[in-house]
Amino acid sequence: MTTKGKWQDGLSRRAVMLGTGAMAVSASLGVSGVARAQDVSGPLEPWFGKGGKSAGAGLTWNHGLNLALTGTGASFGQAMTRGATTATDLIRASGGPTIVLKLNDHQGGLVPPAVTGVRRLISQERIQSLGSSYGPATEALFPLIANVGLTTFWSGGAGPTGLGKTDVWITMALFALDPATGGLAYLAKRFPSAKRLALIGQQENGTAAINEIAPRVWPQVSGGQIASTEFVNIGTTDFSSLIARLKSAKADAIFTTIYGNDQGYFIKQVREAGVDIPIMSIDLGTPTVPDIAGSAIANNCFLAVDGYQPQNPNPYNALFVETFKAKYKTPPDYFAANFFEATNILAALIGRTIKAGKTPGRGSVLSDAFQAGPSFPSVYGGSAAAAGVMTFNLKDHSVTKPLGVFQIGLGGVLTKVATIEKNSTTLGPA
Amino acid sequence: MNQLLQLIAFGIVQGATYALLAASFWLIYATTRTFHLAHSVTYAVAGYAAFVISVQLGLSLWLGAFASVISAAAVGCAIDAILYRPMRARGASVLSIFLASLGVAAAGAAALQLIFGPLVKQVPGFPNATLYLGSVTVTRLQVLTAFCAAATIFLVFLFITRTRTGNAITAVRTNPTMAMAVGIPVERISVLVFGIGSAMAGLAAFFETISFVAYPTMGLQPVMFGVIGVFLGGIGSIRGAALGGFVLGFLLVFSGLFLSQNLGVILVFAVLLVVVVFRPEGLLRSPSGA
Repeated sequence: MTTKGKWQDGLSRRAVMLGTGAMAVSASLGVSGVARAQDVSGPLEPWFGKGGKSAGAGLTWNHGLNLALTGTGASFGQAMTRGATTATDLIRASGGPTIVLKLNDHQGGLVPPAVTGVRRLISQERIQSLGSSYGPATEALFPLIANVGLTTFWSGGAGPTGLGKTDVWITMALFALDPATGGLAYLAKRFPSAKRLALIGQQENGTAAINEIAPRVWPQVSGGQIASTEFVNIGTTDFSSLIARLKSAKADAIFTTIYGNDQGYFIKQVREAGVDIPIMSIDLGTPTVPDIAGSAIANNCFLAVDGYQPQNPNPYNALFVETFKAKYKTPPDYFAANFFEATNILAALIGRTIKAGKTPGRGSVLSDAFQAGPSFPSVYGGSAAAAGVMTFNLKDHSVTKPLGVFQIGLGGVLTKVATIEKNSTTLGPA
Repeated sequence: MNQLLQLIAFGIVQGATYALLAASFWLIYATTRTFHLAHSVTYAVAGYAAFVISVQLGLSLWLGAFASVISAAAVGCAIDAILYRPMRARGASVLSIFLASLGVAAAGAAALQLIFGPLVKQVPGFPNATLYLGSVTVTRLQVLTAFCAAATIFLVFLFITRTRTGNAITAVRTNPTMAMAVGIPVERISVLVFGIGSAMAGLAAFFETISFVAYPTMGLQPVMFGVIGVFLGGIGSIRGAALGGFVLGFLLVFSGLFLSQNLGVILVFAVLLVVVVFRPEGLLRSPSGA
């Protein structure tokens, strides 16, 4: 899928590099006044238009981030912060608002520090919008968000509980639910002799994919049956018991919603137990999973997801990757990408609000700005000539993003093997 | 039948690891009455020591194992010398020492994250392979881990029961006042059990690290299960603690015969509850104290 909006003309790699270089030069010379000028050109211009006062230049905007900054999920929080920071740098260099990130640590998904911390961000840090991650740590904020009128981007671990919630916008594919049908269809097509499917879910997120979607879709696409259904607790590192049951079930393939580090432990132990059947999973966002799984991850493992590929030549993504790598000396990952996109959407909404003659701030004003156009550029999908597109559903606040099936290689390198659509068995070419 | 045999095989492997951890926690707790939750930091430091030696410095995996054990012992002794001993000297309550230990556990994990970052650290290089016994599978590393755990527990058991120093440890454990009265250097014994107990945890941490990865909070769950194992088996002897740890690990896996994996832990805590209520001294009584 490619863009059709203002960013539709695409941008060559040369232009991207020139834009990035211009930004770097501007930054090095300390040309802060540039951001206040009218019609400022900048690296994000091809997708968001010219910067300047009408785009928010000169405006300081406090954006809260409710993330896992300590504990087992600290790497997620770090990646998300970096993605958002990369966006704020580019936005400022493109003549957009100065978005100041205010961080709260929910300590790996704990509700009390999430609620208390975001209250602090609202009352003391005066945040005007929020980005959030994790399930319960975000869901617990819904009443507070609605009460304060805090436009919120749920960009990590988002689930269906956020659908239709006031001022909450889900900027990522719904965990497990959106890609499950396409993933199962691919599994059936790629492995036609696989009839007995083992389902392995994880408590908390994506349970409907295991309990509802897979039992309905798998017989349709394969003519087979569900061999077993298991659930594991989040944080499981030893899967011995499950593997013994799995071997006994004599499954031909595995569909699993296990995510986080647990996925690495699971894949490694399954392969070490001599179980070589294909595994279709729906998340490989955790950057540490390939390290934990080792070479096992390259053994017949697939991923159906809004998979992020740093090497995607889409020019919007190329700008993101170049800027990110220049700052952090490492390529961005899935979490960084999602927060990068969400922060750019925030800036676009601020600009739209100003152009509409309104004052951006708390309340529904930013959410209202979605009505001007539900599509935004995406670092997912697209082509070497144009950015991908993410389109919001203005009723339930979910998003449709480019999805794919990927074969997982060593180190977690993804090779796209098919294009899939949200809640569809239709398979497209890679 | 295959499932049963597979569960038994996995259960023995898991049980042996938890037995080692329970024995390590027991040695420290039973001798010094220190509820040493900071054992989790010791465990994590040992994992990172293997990473530093075998990956960052590029030395052999066995030097990494040595570094894990030695660094764990050093950290355990240091925590005792710097934190617990002054607190004991001032007459701090068990609860105060427990809270201090909890603080070290939290701060230690945070410090490791600051030093090494939040991403996990892998220590590759062990020539692992899957071993097939009919339809039952285990890995070479699992077998080695279980063997080393069992051998270590046995050696520590021999040390405690067959040596003068071991007898001194038993004396301090059973009656520290009397032990001091007969000239046993109680504080040196304290350092010694922290060193040995921590080294045992370090060995377990090394095997976890080369099996998977090292990360700042890697010690929390194993140490917690070790603690539960101690109270399940009984605090009276290392045999009781090791048995408790083994039963805990074995049950966690074996419950898969009739329960989904996520429900196995419920069975374990149900057993613990029954034991605590109906046999508060633990599964194994040991009047001899060994």
